[in-house]
Amino acid sequence: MNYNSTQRLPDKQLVERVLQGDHHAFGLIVKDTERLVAQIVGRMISHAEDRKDIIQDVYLKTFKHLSGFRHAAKLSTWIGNIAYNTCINFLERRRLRVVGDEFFPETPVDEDGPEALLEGRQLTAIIAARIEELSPLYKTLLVLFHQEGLSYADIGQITSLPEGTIKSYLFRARKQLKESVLGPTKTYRH
Amino acid sequence: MTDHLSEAAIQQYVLDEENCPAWMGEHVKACERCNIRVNNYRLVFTEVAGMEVPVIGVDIAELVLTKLGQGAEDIAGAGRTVVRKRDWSPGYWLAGAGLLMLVAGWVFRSFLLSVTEDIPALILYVLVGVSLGIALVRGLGMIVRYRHQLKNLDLS
Repeated sequence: MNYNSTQRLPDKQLVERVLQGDHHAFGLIVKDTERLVAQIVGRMISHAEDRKDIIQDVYLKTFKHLSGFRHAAKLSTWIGNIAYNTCINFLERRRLRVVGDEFFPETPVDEDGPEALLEGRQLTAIIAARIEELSPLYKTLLVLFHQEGLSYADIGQITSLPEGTIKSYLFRARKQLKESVLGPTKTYRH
Repeated sequence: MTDHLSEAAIQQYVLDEENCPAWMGEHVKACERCNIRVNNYRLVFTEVAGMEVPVIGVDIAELVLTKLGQGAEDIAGAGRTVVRKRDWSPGYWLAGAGLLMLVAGWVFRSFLLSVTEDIPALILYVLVGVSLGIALVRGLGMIVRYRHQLKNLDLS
Protein backbone atom coordinates (compact mmCIF):
# COMPACT_ATOMS: atom_id res chain seq x y z
CA MET A 1 0.00 0.00 0.00
CA ASN A 2 1.28 3.45 -0.83
CA TYR A 3 1.14 5.86 2.09
CA ASN A 4 3.03 8.64 0.41
CA SER A 5 0.41 11.31 0.12
CA THR A 6 1.21 14.24 -2.13
CA GLN A 7 -1.29 16.41 -0.27
CA ARG A 8 -0.82 16.24 3.44
CA LEU A 9 -4.09 16.31 5.34
CA PRO A 10 -4.32 18.43 8.49
CA ASP A 11 -3.85 16.56 11.78
CA LYS A 12 -7.50 16.98 12.74
CA GLN A 13 -8.81 15.40 9.53
CA LEU A 14 -6.35 12.54 9.73
CA VAL A 15 -7.34 11.81 13.33
CA GLU A 16 -11.06 11.97 12.50
CA ARG A 17 -10.60 9.55 9.62
CA VAL A 18 -8.76 7.08 11.84
CA LEU A 19 -11.47 7.39 14.50
CA GLN A 20 -14.03 6.54 11.82
CA GLY A 21 -12.13 3.30 11.18
CA ASP A 22 -9.90 4.33 8.25
CA HIS A 23 -6.70 2.35 8.80
CA HIS A 24 -5.16 3.87 5.67
CA ALA A 25 -5.28 7.27 7.40
CA PHE A 26 -3.36 5.76 10.30
CA GLY A 27 -0.76 4.58 7.78
CA LEU A 28 -0.40 8.22 6.67
CA ILE A 29 0.13 9.29 10.29
CA VAL A 30 2.82 6.62 10.68
CA LYS A 31 4.55 7.77 7.49
CA ASP A 32 4.40 11.41 8.59
CA THR A 33 5.93 10.77 11.99
CA GLU A 34 8.19 7.75 11.55
CA ARG A 35 11.33 9.85 11.02
CA LEU A 36 10.79 11.70 14.32
CA VAL A 37 9.96 8.47 16.16
CA ALA A 38 13.00 6.74 14.60
CA GLN A 39 15.19 9.66 15.75
CA ILE A 40 13.91 9.48 19.32
CA VAL A 41 13.93 5.69 19.64
CA GLY A 42 17.15 5.36 17.63
CA ARG A 43 19.02 7.75 19.94
CA MET A 44 17.50 6.51 23.21
CA ILE A 45 17.77 2.76 22.58
CA SER A 46 21.00 1.16 21.45
CA HIS A 47 19.84 -2.35 20.49
CA ALA A 48 18.36 -2.60 16.98
CA GLU A 49 15.87 -5.39 17.80
CA ASP A 50 14.58 -3.46 20.83
CA ARG A 51 14.14 -0.37 18.63
CA LYS A 52 11.87 -2.23 16.24
CA ASP A 53 9.69 -3.57 19.06
CA ILE A 54 9.51 -0.18 20.75
CA ILE A 55 8.53 1.66 17.56
CA GLN A 56 5.81 -0.88 16.96
CA ASP A 57 4.67 -0.44 20.56
CA VAL A 58 4.65 3.36 20.15
CA TYR A 59 2.25 3.21 17.21
CA LEU A 60 0.01 0.62 18.82
CA LYS A 61 -0.26 2.91 21.86
CA THR A 62 -0.90 5.86 19.54
CA PHE A 63 -3.75 4.00 17.86
CA LYS A 64 -5.15 2.86 21.17
CA HIS A 65 -5.16 6.33 22.71
CA LEU A 66 -5.89 8.43 19.61
CA SER A 67 -9.44 9.12 20.77
CA GLY A 68 -7.89 10.90 23.78
CA PHE A 69 -5.80 13.27 21.60
CA ARG A 70 -7.16 16.78 22.24
CA HIS A 71 -5.10 18.70 19.61
CA ALA A 72 -3.48 20.74 22.38
CA ALA A 73 -0.14 19.95 20.72
CA LYS A 74 0.87 18.96 17.20
CA LEU A 75 0.07 15.32 16.46
CA SER A 76 3.76 14.71 15.71
CA THR A 77 4.93 16.04 19.10
CA TRP A 78 2.18 14.05 20.86
CA ILE A 79 3.42 10.87 19.16
CA GLY A 80 6.99 11.98 19.92
CA ASN A 81 6.01 12.21 23.58
CA ILE A 82 4.61 8.66 23.49
CA ALA A 83 7.88 7.50 21.88
CA TYR A 84 9.99 9.32 24.47
CA ASN A 85 7.98 7.98 27.45
CA THR A 86 8.05 4.44 26.05
CA CYS A 87 11.85 4.67 25.77
CA ILE A 88 12.19 6.12 29.28
CA ASN A 89 10.07 3.27 30.69
CA PHE A 90 12.18 0.75 28.76
CA LEU A 91 15.46 2.24 30.06
CA GLU A 92 14.17 2.40 33.63
CA ARG A 93 13.01 -1.21 33.49
CA ARG A 94 16.52 -2.17 32.41
CA ARG A 95 18.01 0.19 35.00
CA LEU A 96 19.92 2.05 32.29
CA ARG A 97 20.91 5.68 32.69
CA VAL A 98 18.91 8.31 30.86
CA VAL A 99 21.03 11.38 31.50
CA GLY A 100 24.53 11.99 32.78
CA ASP A 101 27.82 13.67 32.12
CA GLU A 102 30.09 11.47 30.12
CA PHE A 103 33.80 10.87 30.20
CA PHE A 104 35.35 10.62 26.81
CA PRO A 105 38.76 9.21 26.11
CA GLU A 106 41.11 11.66 24.48
CA THR A 107 40.60 11.79 20.74
CA PRO A 108 43.49 9.90 19.14
CA VAL A 109 45.75 12.30 17.33
CA ASP A 110 46.81 11.35 13.85
CA GLU A 111 50.52 11.40 12.98
CA ASP A 112 49.80 14.19 10.53
CA GLY A 113 48.31 16.25 13.34
CA PRO A 114 44.75 17.02 14.40
CA GLU A 115 43.90 18.80 11.18
CA ALA A 116 44.48 15.68 9.12
CA LEU A 117 42.50 13.68 11.64
CA LEU A 118 39.59 16.03 11.43
CA GLU A 119 39.01 15.96 7.74
CA GLY A 120 36.02 14.82 5.78
CA ARG A 121 34.62 11.39 6.49
CA GLN A 122 36.96 10.83 9.39
CA LEU A 123 35.44 13.77 11.25
CA THR A 124 31.91 12.63 10.45
CA ALA A 125 32.74 9.16 11.76
CA ILE A 126 34.33 10.56 14.93
CA ILE A 127 31.36 12.80 15.65
CA ALA A 128 28.92 9.94 15.03
CA ALA A 129 30.91 7.73 17.42
CA ARG A 130 31.15 10.47 20.06
CA ILE A 131 27.42 11.16 19.87
CA GLU A 132 26.79 7.48 20.53
CA GLU A 133 28.81 7.82 23.74
CA LEU A 134 26.56 10.59 25.05
CA SER A 135 23.71 9.70 27.38
CA PRO A 136 20.39 8.82 25.67
CA LEU A 137 18.75 12.10 26.65
CA TYR A 138 21.66 14.28 25.45
CA LYS A 139 21.75 12.42 22.12
CA THR A 140 18.02 12.85 21.66
CA LEU A 141 18.06 16.55 22.51
CA LEU A 142 20.94 17.19 20.11
CA VAL A 143 19.26 15.54 17.14
CA LEU A 144 15.84 17.02 17.88
CA PHE A 145 17.31 20.52 17.98
CA HIS A 146 20.10 20.41 15.39
CA GLN A 147 18.82 17.79 12.97
CA GLU A 148 15.04 17.98 13.20
CA GLY A 149 15.09 21.74 13.81
CA LEU A 150 12.49 21.57 16.58
CA SER A 151 11.94 24.54 18.86
CA TYR A 152 12.57 24.39 22.62
CA ALA A 153 8.76 24.39 23.10
CA ASP A 154 8.29 21.38 20.81
CA ILE A 155 11.15 19.52 22.51
CA GLY A 156 9.53 20.40 25.84
CA GLN A 157 6.26 18.83 24.71
CA ILE A 158 8.06 15.68 23.60
CA THR A 159 10.21 15.26 26.69
CA SER A 160 7.95 16.93 29.29
CA LEU A 161 11.00 18.87 30.48
CA PRO A 162 10.97 22.61 31.26
CA GLU A 163 12.59 24.83 28.61
CA GLY A 164 15.31 25.93 31.02
CA THR A 165 16.32 22.33 31.66
CA ILE A 166 16.38 21.59 27.93
CA LYS A 167 18.62 24.62 27.29
CA SER A 168 20.94 23.61 30.10
CA TYR A 169 21.17 19.97 28.93
CA LEU A 170 21.74 21.10 25.34
CA PHE A 171 24.52 23.45 26.39
CA ARG A 172 26.28 20.64 28.27
CA ALA A 173 25.72 18.13 25.48
CA ARG A 174 27.16 20.49 22.83
CA LYS A 175 30.15 21.36 25.01
CA GLN A 176 30.86 17.71 25.79
CA LEU A 177 30.54 16.74 22.16
CA LYS A 178 32.77 19.56 20.92
CA GLU A 179 35.43 18.82 23.54
CA SER A 180 35.30 15.08 22.90
CA VAL A 181 35.85 15.62 19.19
CA LEU A 182 38.25 18.54 19.20
CA GLY A 183 39.47 18.58 22.79
CA PRO A 184 38.98 21.40 25.30
CA THR A 185 41.96 23.35 24.10
CA LYS A 186 42.49 21.96 20.64
CA THR A 187 41.43 24.17 17.83
CA TYR A 188 40.72 23.43 14.25
CA ARG A 189 41.63 26.13 11.77
CA HIS A 190 39.40 26.43 8.72
CA MET B 1 43.18 40.22 24.12
CA THR B 2 42.44 38.46 27.40
CA ASP B 3 38.65 38.69 27.92
CA HIS B 4 37.36 35.89 25.75
CA LEU B 5 33.71 35.02 25.25
CA SER B 6 32.25 32.47 27.61
CA GLU B 7 31.31 29.01 26.35
CA ALA B 8 27.62 29.93 26.60
CA ALA B 9 28.18 33.15 24.65
CA ILE B 10 30.07 31.27 21.94
CA GLN B 11 27.21 28.77 21.57
CA GLN B 12 24.63 31.56 21.54
CA TYR B 13 26.63 33.40 18.84
CA VAL B 14 26.88 30.31 16.64
CA LEU B 15 23.19 29.48 17.03
CA ASP B 16 21.77 32.95 16.63
CA GLU B 17 24.41 35.31 15.25
CA GLU B 18 21.88 37.81 13.91
CA ASN B 19 20.32 38.48 17.29
CA CYS B 20 23.57 38.73 19.24
CA PRO B 21 24.87 42.14 20.30
CA ALA B 22 27.20 43.77 17.78
CA TRP B 23 30.16 43.74 20.19
CA MET B 24 30.10 39.95 20.16
CA GLY B 25 30.53 39.81 16.41
CA GLU B 26 33.29 42.41 16.58
CA HIS B 27 35.06 40.43 19.28
CA VAL B 28 34.83 37.19 17.31
CA LYS B 29 36.28 38.91 14.25
CA ALA B 30 39.10 40.47 16.22
CA CYS B 31 39.94 37.59 18.55
CA GLU B 32 41.59 34.63 16.85
CA ARG B 33 40.94 32.24 19.73
CA CYS B 34 37.19 32.99 19.94
CA ASN B 35 36.97 32.88 16.16
CA ILE B 36 38.42 29.39 16.17
CA ARG B 37 36.06 28.32 18.99
CA VAL B 38 33.11 29.64 16.96
CA ASN B 39 34.28 27.73 13.89
CA ASN B 40 34.74 24.56 15.95
CA TYR B 41 31.14 24.72 17.13
CA ARG B 42 29.94 25.48 13.59
CA LEU B 43 31.81 22.43 12.35
CA VAL B 44 30.31 20.16 15.02
CA PHE B 45 26.77 21.52 14.49
CA THR B 46 27.04 21.03 10.73
CA GLU B 47 28.16 17.44 11.22
CA VAL B 48 25.36 16.75 13.74
CA ALA B 49 22.76 18.21 11.36
CA GLY B 50 24.04 15.99 8.56
CA MET B 51 24.04 12.76 10.55
CA GLU B 52 22.18 9.75 9.21
CA VAL B 53 18.74 9.09 10.63
CA PRO B 54 18.66 5.70 12.40
CA VAL B 55 17.39 3.03 10.01
CA ILE B 56 14.74 0.72 11.41
CA GLY B 57 14.95 -1.71 8.50
CA VAL B 58 11.24 -2.54 8.26
CA ASP B 59 8.17 -0.84 6.84
CA ILE B 60 6.74 0.44 10.10
CA ALA B 61 3.37 1.41 8.59
CA GLU B 62 2.85 -2.08 7.11
CA LEU B 63 4.05 -3.75 10.30
CA VAL B 64 1.75 -1.72 12.54
CA LEU B 65 -1.28 -2.01 10.26
CA THR B 66 -0.79 -5.76 10.01
CA LYS B 67 -0.67 -5.91 13.78
CA LEU B 68 -3.79 -3.74 14.03
CA GLY B 69 -5.56 -6.02 11.57
CA GLN B 70 -4.59 -9.12 13.56
CA GLY B 71 -5.55 -7.80 16.96
CA ALA B 72 -8.21 -5.22 16.19
CA GLU B 73 -10.56 -6.81 18.68
CA ASP B 74 -7.91 -6.89 21.39
CA ILE B 75 -6.88 -3.30 20.93
CA ALA B 76 -9.48 -0.99 22.32
CA GLY B 77 -9.61 0.87 19.05
CA ALA B 78 -9.78 4.53 18.25
CA GLY B 79 -13.17 6.07 18.77
CA ARG B 80 -14.25 3.38 21.15
CA THR B 81 -14.29 3.64 24.90
CA VAL B 82 -11.39 1.82 26.47
CA VAL B 83 -12.78 -0.74 28.89
CA ARG B 84 -9.91 -2.08 30.89
CA LYS B 85 -10.37 -5.25 32.94
CA ARG B 86 -9.95 -4.51 36.60
CA ASP B 87 -7.27 -6.54 38.32
CA TRP B 88 -8.97 -8.24 41.25
CA SER B 89 -6.05 -10.51 42.14
CA PRO B 90 -4.92 -8.48 45.23
CA GLY B 91 -8.50 -8.74 46.55
CA TYR B 92 -8.50 -12.51 46.09
CA TRP B 93 -5.17 -12.74 47.90
CA LEU B 94 -6.46 -10.63 50.80
CA ALA B 95 -9.69 -12.64 51.07
CA GLY B 96 -7.70 -15.90 50.96
CA ALA B 97 -5.29 -14.71 53.65
CA GLY B 98 -8.20 -13.57 55.86
CA LEU B 99 -9.98 -16.89 55.45
CA LEU B 100 -6.80 -18.78 56.29
CA MET B 101 -6.38 -16.73 59.48
CA LEU B 102 -9.99 -17.40 60.51
CA VAL B 103 -9.56 -21.15 59.95
CA ALA B 104 -6.27 -21.14 61.88
CA GLY B 105 -7.93 -19.17 64.71
CA TRP B 106 -10.80 -21.67 64.84
CA VAL B 107 -8.48 -24.70 64.80
CA PHE B 108 -6.17 -23.31 67.49
CA ARG B 109 -8.88 -21.49 69.47
CA SER B 110 -8.34 -23.43 72.68
CA PHE B 111 -4.59 -22.73 72.61
CA LEU B 112 -5.14 -19.06 71.82
CA LEU B 113 -7.72 -18.71 74.58
CA SER B 114 -5.34 -20.26 77.10
CA VAL B 115 -2.57 -17.85 76.04
CA THR B 116 -4.80 -14.82 76.33
CA GLU B 117 -6.75 -15.76 79.47
CA ASP B 118 -4.38 -13.79 81.75
CA ILE B 119 -4.63 -10.64 79.61
CA PRO B 120 -7.47 -8.24 80.47
CA ALA B 121 -10.12 -8.17 77.72
CA LEU B 122 -9.71 -4.44 77.03
CA ILE B 123 -5.95 -4.72 76.48
CA LEU B 124 -6.53 -7.75 74.25
CA TYR B 125 -9.04 -5.84 72.13
CA VAL B 126 -6.62 -2.90 71.85
CA LEU B 127 -3.71 -5.19 70.88
CA VAL B 128 -5.74 -7.07 68.27
CA GLY B 129 -7.34 -3.88 66.96
CA VAL B 130 -4.01 -2.03 66.59
CA SER B 131 -2.39 -5.08 64.93
CA LEU B 132 -5.23 -5.43 62.46
CA GLY B 133 -5.17 -1.69 61.79
CA ILE B 134 -1.42 -1.72 61.08
CA ALA B 135 -1.78 -4.81 58.86
CA LEU B 136 -4.63 -3.16 56.93
CA VAL B 137 -2.77 0.12 56.37
CA ARG B 138 0.44 -1.67 55.35
CA GLY B 139 -1.47 -4.04 53.07
CA LEU B 140 -3.34 -1.23 51.33
CA GLY B 141 -0.08 0.70 50.98
CA MET B 142 1.50 -2.32 49.31
CA ILE B 143 -1.42 -2.61 46.89
CA VAL B 144 -1.22 1.10 46.00
CA ARG B 145 2.55 0.87 45.46
CA TYR B 146 2.13 -2.27 43.35
CA ARG B 147 -0.46 -0.58 41.13
CA HIS B 148 1.66 2.57 40.87
CA GLN B 149 4.72 0.56 39.82
CA LEU B 150 2.69 -1.39 37.24
CA LYS B 151 1.44 1.90 35.84
CA ASN B 152 5.01 3.24 35.65
CA LEU B 153 6.18 0.12 33.90
CA ASP B 154 3.38 0.66 31.41
CA LEU B 155 2.73 -3.02 30.93
CA SER B 156 -0.94 -2.62 30.23
